[in-house]
Amino acid sequence: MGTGKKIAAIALLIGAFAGFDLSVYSLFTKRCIDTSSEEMQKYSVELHRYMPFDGSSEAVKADTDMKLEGELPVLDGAAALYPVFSGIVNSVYPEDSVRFENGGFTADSALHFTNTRGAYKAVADGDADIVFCAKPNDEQLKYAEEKGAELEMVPIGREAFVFIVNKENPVDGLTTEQVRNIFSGDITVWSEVGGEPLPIEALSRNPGSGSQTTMDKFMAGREQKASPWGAFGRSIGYSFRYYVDNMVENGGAKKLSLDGVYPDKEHIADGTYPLASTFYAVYRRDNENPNISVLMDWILSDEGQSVVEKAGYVPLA
Amino acid sequence: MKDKTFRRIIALITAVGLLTSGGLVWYTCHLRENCSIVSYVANGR
Repeated sequence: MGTGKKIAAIALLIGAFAGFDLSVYSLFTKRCIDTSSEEMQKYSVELHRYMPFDGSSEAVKADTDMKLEGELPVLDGAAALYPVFSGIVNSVYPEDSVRFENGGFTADSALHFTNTRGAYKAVADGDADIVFCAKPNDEQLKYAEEKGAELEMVPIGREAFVFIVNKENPVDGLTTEQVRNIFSGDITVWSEVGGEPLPIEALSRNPGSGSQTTMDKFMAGREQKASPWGAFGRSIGYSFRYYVDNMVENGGAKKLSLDGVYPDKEHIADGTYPLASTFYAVYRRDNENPNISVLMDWILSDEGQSVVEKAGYVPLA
Repeated sequence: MKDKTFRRIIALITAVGLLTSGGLVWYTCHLRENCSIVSYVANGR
């Protein structure tokens, strides 16, 4: 082989590897970059943005004279509800009750953040006194039962479960049945629901997360399946409205109307959005901390409900 | 270019390429297991 051909072969080999790497990066890696590490996950829900007692944060505060004293209930909960329970702490807890070091809350802090799965485990184990979440799934209920924990679930506000697509996707709305067909793999191309002739990438979340538990109920027994070609088309995912609107960098995503109704606060409040849902404050019935009932009464009062509303959710009617 | 040199260069590029591509695929799989659906949809198509 002549030198020219050898150099061409070398260039071809380098080009093949570079082309493969570039394709993998642009098709898959780039979509998730900077959101995987624990540090970035914490950043993605912007704990600092809603940090209590921090003058520069956006943590909400109720107009109240109530201040908890004595044994403070430890609060934890879902990422999407962090602005609510951080707002409760910001309103009625003493300032020295929150301790945050090295990117996380310390064990002796009255405010924790471990997300839905961690929060249900924490309340069952007694590591958290009240957690703020969507309804638990069967596994979480079973774990609580194994720990001898009977859970009291008190509704404290309303939220909506929403489906999202990239802003460049021309589809603006779907019917309930179309969504079920997409996520069960019966509809695999966007053109079947009024979009482009591109494959549908139906995304799913980890079992036990609040949104996956809600999705399991929405699917009504139908198994979620994803097309292997979906990654080459346009994706569809789901989450809670507040999380999509406020808690992550989402400039490229848009919410879909469901059965012709857009998931805004008005349609959640009047009940016309089909997937408006309730979220709860959850605690062990045998928890003897006297401040739990004090705090629960306050959360359900007008002052407490103002925290729910100021945090961007829909208060109980 | 001598054949021996050429073979060494090809072997080196192949080894580096496989390591890089393998690492990228592994890293991408790790990211996909953990990344937020909202970020994924917003950053994708």
